[in-house]
Amino acid sequence: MDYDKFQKELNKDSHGDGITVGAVFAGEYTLYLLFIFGSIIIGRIYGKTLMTLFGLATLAFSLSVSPLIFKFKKENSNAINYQLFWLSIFLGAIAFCIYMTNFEFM
Amino acid sequence: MDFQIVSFIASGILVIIGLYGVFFVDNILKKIIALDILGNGVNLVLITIGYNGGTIPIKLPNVPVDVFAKKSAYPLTQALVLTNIVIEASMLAVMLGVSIILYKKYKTLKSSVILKED
Amino acid sequence: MNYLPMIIIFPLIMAIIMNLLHGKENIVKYLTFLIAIILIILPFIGQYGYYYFGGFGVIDGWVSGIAYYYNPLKQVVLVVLAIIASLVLITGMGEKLKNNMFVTLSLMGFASVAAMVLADDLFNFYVFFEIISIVQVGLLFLSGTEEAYKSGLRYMIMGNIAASLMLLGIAFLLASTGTLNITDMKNYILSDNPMIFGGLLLLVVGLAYGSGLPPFHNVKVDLYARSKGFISAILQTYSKFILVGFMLIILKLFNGLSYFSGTHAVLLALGVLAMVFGVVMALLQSDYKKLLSYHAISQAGYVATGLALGTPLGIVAGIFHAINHVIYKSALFLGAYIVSHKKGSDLHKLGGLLPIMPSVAFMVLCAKLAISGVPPFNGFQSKWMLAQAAMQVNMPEIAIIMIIVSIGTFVSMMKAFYLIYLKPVDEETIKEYQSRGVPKLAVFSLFILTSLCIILGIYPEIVTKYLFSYANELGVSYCLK
Repeated sequence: MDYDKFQKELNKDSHGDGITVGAVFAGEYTLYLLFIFGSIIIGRIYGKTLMTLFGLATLAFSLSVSPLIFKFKKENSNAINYQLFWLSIFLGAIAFCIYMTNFEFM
Repeated sequence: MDFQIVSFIASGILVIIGLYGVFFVDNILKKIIALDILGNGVNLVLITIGYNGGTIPIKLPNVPVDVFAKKSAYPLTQALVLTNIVIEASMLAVMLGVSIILYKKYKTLKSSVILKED
Repeated sequence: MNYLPMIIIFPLIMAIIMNLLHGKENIVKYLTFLIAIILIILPFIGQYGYYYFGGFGVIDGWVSGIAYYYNPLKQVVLVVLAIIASLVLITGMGEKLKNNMFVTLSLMGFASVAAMVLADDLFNFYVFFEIISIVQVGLLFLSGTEEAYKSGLRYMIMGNIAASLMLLGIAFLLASTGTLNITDMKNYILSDNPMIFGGLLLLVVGLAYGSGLPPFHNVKVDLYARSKGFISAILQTYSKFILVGFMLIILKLFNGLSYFSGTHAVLLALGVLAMVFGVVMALLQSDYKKLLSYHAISQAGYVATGLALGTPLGIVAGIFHAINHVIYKSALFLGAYIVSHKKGSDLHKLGGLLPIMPSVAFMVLCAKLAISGVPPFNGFQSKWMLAQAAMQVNMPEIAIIMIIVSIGTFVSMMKAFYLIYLKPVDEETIKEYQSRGVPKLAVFSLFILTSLCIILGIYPEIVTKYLFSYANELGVSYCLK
């Protein structure tokens, strides 16, 4: 995660001025902070160590593939196939939520 | 077999076919047809919920409300389905129109070509 | 007599009349100014309480027909919606071509959103939910570019899936309770039934689509970014108030029930992810409209988080933030519209506009400070309340994420301000700027919105005092250990 790497990546679209690189850096750190605080709150609410470890593993994985932000941008493209992929993941997560909830009579 | 159960199974199959078609078929017209099938599956669910083997739900003035409610099918679902059909037809019409415009430009119907990242 | 339904009927009838006036520009112009004034009066003529359309309603204990429920909270939301809609209509009349389709579609959208906020039955709600999605695509198509058509098609494909699944959820709720009237349904919903839970989660799919939470944020951003500047202002207003109306219904039905806790976590996660994804994507953009659109998603995440907390303070903070957000984001979109009159919206080609139009730059700076949450402006008040609400239920992590996202917002907004207004440019560009005018009506609307920002920032009570009574009714106080 060094400045030159970011600037080289951004210079491809000729946007490599200082203020843009700074903004992209801010975005990268925002993502890492989301992972950190997200894993803290999930671990605290659900009280499961495994979930926190899983969150920390995600953080470690994202640090190992840094810079994360360009991959994040690619996943957020508006191509219809990416959109439908994430929609199907979302529907899967909702279905998982229905499955996981413990009803008293079930 | 019970009529209602068969109908629910059929609507489930329709919904699954619709979702499969939207997610996995590349042709944009087939995607739109799959959306129509998905909508029809949902409509069939609604109709089946309202059906209880009763009569046509028209409340005549001399029939008390509770007798009417016991004897007739549930009219609310039918009204909902009727509205949904109208709305969905207009949505599909707009989508087909736009796909014609895009087809004239790209000379193909592949959604991975027409609707790629831009 | 109760004139409450006029808020839906009047815009729909005017939309039909406007539809017939193609090409008659003078009539369109003056009629639109008249409508813009009447729209602001409409929320004040209704009476509070339940309203059953056409005199149907409760017959022998059976609830039927279209039902509306009106109270001070909904009145405040509708007044803000009417103010933004009339300002956008006035701005639209400054265009060279007075487009009657723009007026028609905006009025249809106004009627739909008003009906969704007022609705007390899911039938009516679903119908207007579908109408608004067609209206949004129609407003997008008015810009007439190829990108607009493509993103409209994308939006409709995603939207059709989501709307069908939402109808399936409504069908589940209907099957397990036997009614669609929300006040009535609440009585039958208390029993644990996996079908109700499935219906609730499928409603969340519709919620995410209607308000642009993930995974629908990219299609929604395309929708905002590719329409004209003043149209994006009204589009994001619609999305925010759809979010508010939808969350009010979900909270009214389910808040406080034991099986709501799973969905609670889903809604909070959606809100937090929308906040972070919106701001991170905004930091990467080089197009001004797209940057603002991603911020609209990010702020929708704030609203969703506040409402999803489900406490009285959280609900008040969420709705207050929605109101503040539509005001300052509409101002920013109008600023982008004025800038695009000068020279496009690509950040790296603009620059040096401060000496050309200092008053517009000052007003836009006020809106930018408001969105970042800097004290004398309204964004500060609602973000402060949101952080307070998060701390009250003992979730400091969410408050921390909110503050981090605020910092990201400030960074990208200041980046955009530097690149548009402060960056030095050469002589030729300045001559090009001077040869092009500024739309006067847009500056007028921008001025009113900016002054609203400052007024609400100094006296937040003029809005919040109306919100607390209904929020206390809906909210449930709790605290995590």
